[in-house]
Amino acid sequence: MLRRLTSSRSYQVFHTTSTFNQLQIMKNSIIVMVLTITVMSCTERIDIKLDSQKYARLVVEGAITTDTTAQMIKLSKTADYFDNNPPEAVSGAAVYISSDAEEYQLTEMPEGSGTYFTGPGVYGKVGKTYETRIVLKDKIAGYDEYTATSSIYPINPLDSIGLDFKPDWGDEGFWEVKCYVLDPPTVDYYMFQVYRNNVLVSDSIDKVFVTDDALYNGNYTNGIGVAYLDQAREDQKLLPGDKVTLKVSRITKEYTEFVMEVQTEISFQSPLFSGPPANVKGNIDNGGFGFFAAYSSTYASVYVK
Amino acid sequence: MTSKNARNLFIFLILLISGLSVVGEGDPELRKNTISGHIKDAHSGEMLIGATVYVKEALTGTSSNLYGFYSLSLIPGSYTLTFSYIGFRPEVHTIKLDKDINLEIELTKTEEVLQEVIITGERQDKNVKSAEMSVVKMESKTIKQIPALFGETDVIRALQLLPGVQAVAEGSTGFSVRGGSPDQNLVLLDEATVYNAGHMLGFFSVFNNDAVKDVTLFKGDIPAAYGGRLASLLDVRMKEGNTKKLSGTGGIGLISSRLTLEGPLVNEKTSFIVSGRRTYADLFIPLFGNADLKGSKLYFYDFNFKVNHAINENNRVFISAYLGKDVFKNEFALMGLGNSTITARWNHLFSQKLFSNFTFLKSTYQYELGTPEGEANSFTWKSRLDDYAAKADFTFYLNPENTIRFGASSTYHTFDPGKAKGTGEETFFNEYILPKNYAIESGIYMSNEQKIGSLITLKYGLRFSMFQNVGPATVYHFDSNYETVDSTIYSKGNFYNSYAGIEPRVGITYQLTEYSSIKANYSHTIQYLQLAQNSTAGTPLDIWFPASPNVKPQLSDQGAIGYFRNFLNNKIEASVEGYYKYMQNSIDFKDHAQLLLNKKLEGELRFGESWSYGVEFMVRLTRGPITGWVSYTLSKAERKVKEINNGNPYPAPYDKPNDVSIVMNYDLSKRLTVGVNWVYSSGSPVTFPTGRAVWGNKVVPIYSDRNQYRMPDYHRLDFSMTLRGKEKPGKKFYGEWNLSVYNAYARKNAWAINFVQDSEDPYKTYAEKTYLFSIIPSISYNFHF
Repeated sequence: MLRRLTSSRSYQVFHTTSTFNQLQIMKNSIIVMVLTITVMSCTERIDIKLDSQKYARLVVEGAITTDTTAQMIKLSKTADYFDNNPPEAVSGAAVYISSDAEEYQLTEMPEGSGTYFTGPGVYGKVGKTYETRIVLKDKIAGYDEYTATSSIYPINPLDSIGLDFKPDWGDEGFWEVKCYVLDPPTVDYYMFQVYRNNVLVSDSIDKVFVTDDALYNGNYTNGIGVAYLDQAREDQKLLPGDKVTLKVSRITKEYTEFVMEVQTEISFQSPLFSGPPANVKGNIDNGGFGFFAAYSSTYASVYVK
Repeated sequence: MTSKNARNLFIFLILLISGLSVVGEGDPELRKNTISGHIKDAHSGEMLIGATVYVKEALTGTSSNLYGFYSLSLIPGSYTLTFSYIGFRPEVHTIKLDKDINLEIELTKTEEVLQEVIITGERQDKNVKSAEMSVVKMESKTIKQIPALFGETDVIRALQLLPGVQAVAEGSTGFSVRGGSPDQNLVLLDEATVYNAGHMLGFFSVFNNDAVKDVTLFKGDIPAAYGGRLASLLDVRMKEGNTKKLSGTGGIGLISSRLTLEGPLVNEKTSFIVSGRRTYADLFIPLFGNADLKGSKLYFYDFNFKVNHAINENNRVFISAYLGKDVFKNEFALMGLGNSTITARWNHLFSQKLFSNFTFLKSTYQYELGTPEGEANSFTWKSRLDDYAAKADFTFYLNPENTIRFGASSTYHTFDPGKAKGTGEETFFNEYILPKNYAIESGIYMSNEQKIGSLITLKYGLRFSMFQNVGPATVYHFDSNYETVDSTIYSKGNFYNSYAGIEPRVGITYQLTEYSSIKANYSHTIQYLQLAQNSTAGTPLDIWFPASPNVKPQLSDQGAIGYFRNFLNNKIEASVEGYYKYMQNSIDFKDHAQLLLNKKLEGELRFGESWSYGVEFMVRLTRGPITGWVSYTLSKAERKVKEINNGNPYPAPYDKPNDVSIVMNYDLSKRLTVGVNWVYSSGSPVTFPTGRAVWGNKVVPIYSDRNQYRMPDYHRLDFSMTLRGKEKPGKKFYGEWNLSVYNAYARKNAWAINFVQDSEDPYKTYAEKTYLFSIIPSISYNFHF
């Protein structure tokens, strides 16, 4: 049990080792002390009886990006915490994304899945503010209409990325993905995601990395480490010839905070480092949970030698 | 209150003092003579704090102060004086008082072991008769007998066994007094504030028991001489050093080794003590075979030093210093942190009735962390806090009925909350500096302990405190949503903001019978500094921040009433105390607050009110082969903050309604002592999820109201056994083995509870508890010579 806890913790460690968000720095730096506690600590499953949620809420997960693929919005419902089933999809809603005079209606595909897509030619444009409007067939938590807005800001294209192997980290070493890009003098927020051979490795919210630029604002990020691939994990293991792609997105402050709050709430909580648990704030109105994001992205790839 | 009012108050106090002096000295018919001196331990020359002097003929008495000084003014005549201190053989002196007399007293210890008590009162019936309540004193040697985690005797862990005092988390030396936050405890080491009293994330306290002489915890009835915190005062006094001969104390344990040397310098007038402790837990790291810990360093050390010199009967100087540091290091991060304090004091007797002490001190807490140097992404991050303080305290022994204390203090605080910068040559980091800030905290006080007849003792005092923020500073202005509107920059030396307040303290003791009394007290306290700590146990990185235009000082009003009853010739002490505490401008933090390296920290604060109340029961066995106590506390602590929990009251993080401690020591023989303790407390309040949303392929919790659940109940049994070497006449070196077992029935007390997504089925979640200490046996060897 001890072993498992330590390794899961160290994933988090390496994930945040050379990152620059204030919180990340803190987490990184106290890790030495955390390790001492892991040595002493053990874990055990326990039974806890939790109350049922008071009422179900609408969950919205969606984005409009500068990528020229179809844009997606996913609707579901909250459930009791120990429900242990896939979330109930919210089907049959009318879902729109609009900006100025443009408006696109999304189509549910497949029927009953709760996932709604635009046509393939729809993409977000830099400088625009987008609104999503969701009209439900049946009310959830007293509302049948929900909206959220988000804006797309310009991003400097990635110059290049690099890879650096850290043999001593973890059991089998880590690959560090280094990023070379000029950060503009404005206050910016970024999200980093990694693909291996065109398959998304950062495939869940805990694996993306978001940060502000407070500590390197306006500077050339000369090989800053932004992602780490654990060679002990099958889905992250790199072999010679593999293609690694970094996607950098300029996101809004609100989305950055949302992702960080989600990451905080799903990470290990202890009396030393964690504040009281608190609900994550999104940008969906009428008590909906989740986020409708809008962002611009830039990509660069490198092959493993 | 304005500074004009402050001046008026000061003048009032001066007049009051001079008025009292006139009363004391004026009438020749009532001319009195004074007998004064110091009360010491004959063996080591250490001053005894709180030893008593009883005058048989006058049916009155006094006790020695923090520097061992006593003074009594009586009408000329012949008197029989009994000097006593628990654990020491009383001495009786018959004197003829026709002029002022100086009488230095040395008391000899009674038989070492069998008469020893767990908690020493100054007088056997002090529990009942003294004007103090909600106060606990512990002696270093008695703390030693309590079973300890890893065999590391710890002052604060011993205090946590007392009613109303609780650990903030399993294994932590952070403590909460009567539901208060840990930053509401004023922790003093030889008068200097210790800002972070923990080592290794709080698992050990900074106090090396070998260097500690006396520990007093005031749980509410904080003397007027002290202020600045709401919940308690923990007053730790270092030993002065043996004035008779060179001697040493030491120990070798699983975690650390200690060595203390003390003795006279030149002659009996000067003595010193040096004490060091270092842990070596990191030496065992390779044994864990854990690759993550390869090349790691992890240790702390403490160093205490004190020297004192008696210039003459009327003047004595002390210099004491503490330095402690924690070092953590592995291949990608390093960290150093610690406290240092230095205190210089001068005791001066203006007359036999007017004792004074002048203190100058500096206290620092700092930390530094970073990554190994030389890479483009290397960085360091530093933070520190310095206090420079001067204090003057006077005790005026007007007559046996009135002991007047007054004084003033001023502290200059400098805060350097954080500075982060890149260290590599090709660094791409900008310097990120949180502006420093400065403040002056001052106080003047006066109090009197007055005996009225033989049944009533009154204690009343006033403290006037003032807090001033001094430039240079940048003050942000926030709107009602705590968003920054703009900021004001103040120049150097600009006193741009001040707060002040009067803090009354009142107490009464009414003696019902020879063996029982009722006591009550009320105190108002103001706190100007607080810790930005959002987790219950905190980390060493949490920073202290001052009151400011955005942060009003926290206020507390506490009232307590108690019934004290001793049985079997004071062999058994029993007490019941009830208290109610109401606090204003209480601080909590917004959801997902960012407290570190945040220039707009003040925007993360939310203000409200809080209250706590409870009843504390305690029964102590003070003498005999079995000593110890049983205590039970029933309490409640709540907070109410508009922006948190929809403005509804919620349990404070340290609210533990039921708390039981049983501490027993049994001297089986002169050589063998067995100790056992059992603690039980309700689980801490926690917030658990009630709902879930699936977002980004993860189950995201949706929570209940704040602190609506509780952790499982906490309980634990510890044992200890101390085997002392044989005593022989002429023997110089004494050793003892100490065996302890922490958590003897290996209860897996929850330290944290997490909700985890199943790695096989991402939609399945389960609760998982993390526990720290299962059964932990340890052994240590201690010696003195």
